[in-house]
Amino acid sequence: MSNPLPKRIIKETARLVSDPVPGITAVPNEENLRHFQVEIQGPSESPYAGGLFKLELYLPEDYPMEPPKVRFLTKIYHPNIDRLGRICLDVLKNNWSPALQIRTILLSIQALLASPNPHDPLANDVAKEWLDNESAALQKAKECTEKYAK
Amino acid sequence: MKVEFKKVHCVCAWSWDIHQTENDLKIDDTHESPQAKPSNNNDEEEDVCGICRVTYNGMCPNCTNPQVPCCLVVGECNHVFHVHCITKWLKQSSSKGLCPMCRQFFSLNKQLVINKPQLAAFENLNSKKHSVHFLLADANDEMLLD
Amino acid sequence: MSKVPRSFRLLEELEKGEKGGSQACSYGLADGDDITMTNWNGTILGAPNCVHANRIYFVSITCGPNYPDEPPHIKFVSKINLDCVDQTTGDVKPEALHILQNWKRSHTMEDILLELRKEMITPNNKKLPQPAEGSTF
Repeated sequence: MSNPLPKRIIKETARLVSDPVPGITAVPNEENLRHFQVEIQGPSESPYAGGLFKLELYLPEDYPMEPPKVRFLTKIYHPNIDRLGRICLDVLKNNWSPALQIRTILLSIQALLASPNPHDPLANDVAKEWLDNESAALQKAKECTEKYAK
Repeated sequence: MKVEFKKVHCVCAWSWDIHQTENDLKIDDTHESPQAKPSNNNDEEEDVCGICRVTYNGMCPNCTNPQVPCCLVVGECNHVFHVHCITKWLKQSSSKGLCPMCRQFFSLNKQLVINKPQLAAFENLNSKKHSVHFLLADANDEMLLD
Repeated sequence: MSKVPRSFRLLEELEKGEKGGSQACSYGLADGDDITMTNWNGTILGAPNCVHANRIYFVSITCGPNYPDEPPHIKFVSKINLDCVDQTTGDVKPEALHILQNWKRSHTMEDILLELRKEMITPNNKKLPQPAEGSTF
């Protein structure tokens, strides 16, 4: 029933395996080659350091005209990631370009962990804490990493 | 033994030759010389369409009919795409009319012969896009008023 | 068409539900922290011009690990007398509701809620006496 996988997806998948991005793994699901299990290491010098975060990524039918869909499966305390793991990131929405790839998107997510943006929040309560009392927020993010991302 | 030719079929092969023009303008230090084509299969190094990542000579995934040649077009910004790929992208309002590679407003380089047959179609696309822009701008204004 | 995985499909439904699609029903996650998005609450506004008019029915929906390849489980919380609803538990009997019996991957929770609403005005159901408004199973 389903159309053959576009060459671009095959190429991207092959390269993710042969030349992986440091700190990031992405493995396609055998039953659905558009659905990837992703693991991202928390960037050092961030409250997520030492954590390993699981995500899932799906390439919709219209990829690369449409961006991939990505969400966190590991609980994380971050102003741009909500309780269901949804991510607020411009390149996943309005600023998507078909020149971007799975690897560049995953790198952008890793960069988002290193530099949270509480001025464009998805999790309002977390963002408020981040702006009101940053050190407490960083401590919470650290504790959450210890608790869920090990 | 005597060999007698009964019939001769002429065949020819061709390929897009825009490698040169693109390289002259490409700021890419990984290419030492335009002639030396790297033979590794590293995606970034080959001449591939920036959207579908199929080689320039290959048929893009948006081709519906193998009889219709999958042409290339070159933007003012010198980025090269299969005409089918870039048209599909620009038709989406989410593209905002921008080149996928450099995010500048995408229009064809009118000086290049390769673009000639496509100029009219892209003019049309651009004018449509402008009207979409105005509509979007209006909608945003209304939202602000609310 | 490629198969949208369970989680992204449920997120799509959640976003549609949050935007408020149909006037006749609503649905949302029972627990906003549940990353598996298994338990949902739904409401159905009673069909007009019958005994159900102006009533609001609460249902709980359970989307198992194989949703949307398999239909969700639906249970009425508010008491209602319908052919397809088990009168002791409130469970919707899958064999008695066309959409559950002939489940397709493209069907959504909203489709089920709207179909249940249509059930209220079938000739069979229209005549049935209804429990007092606001009682629960």
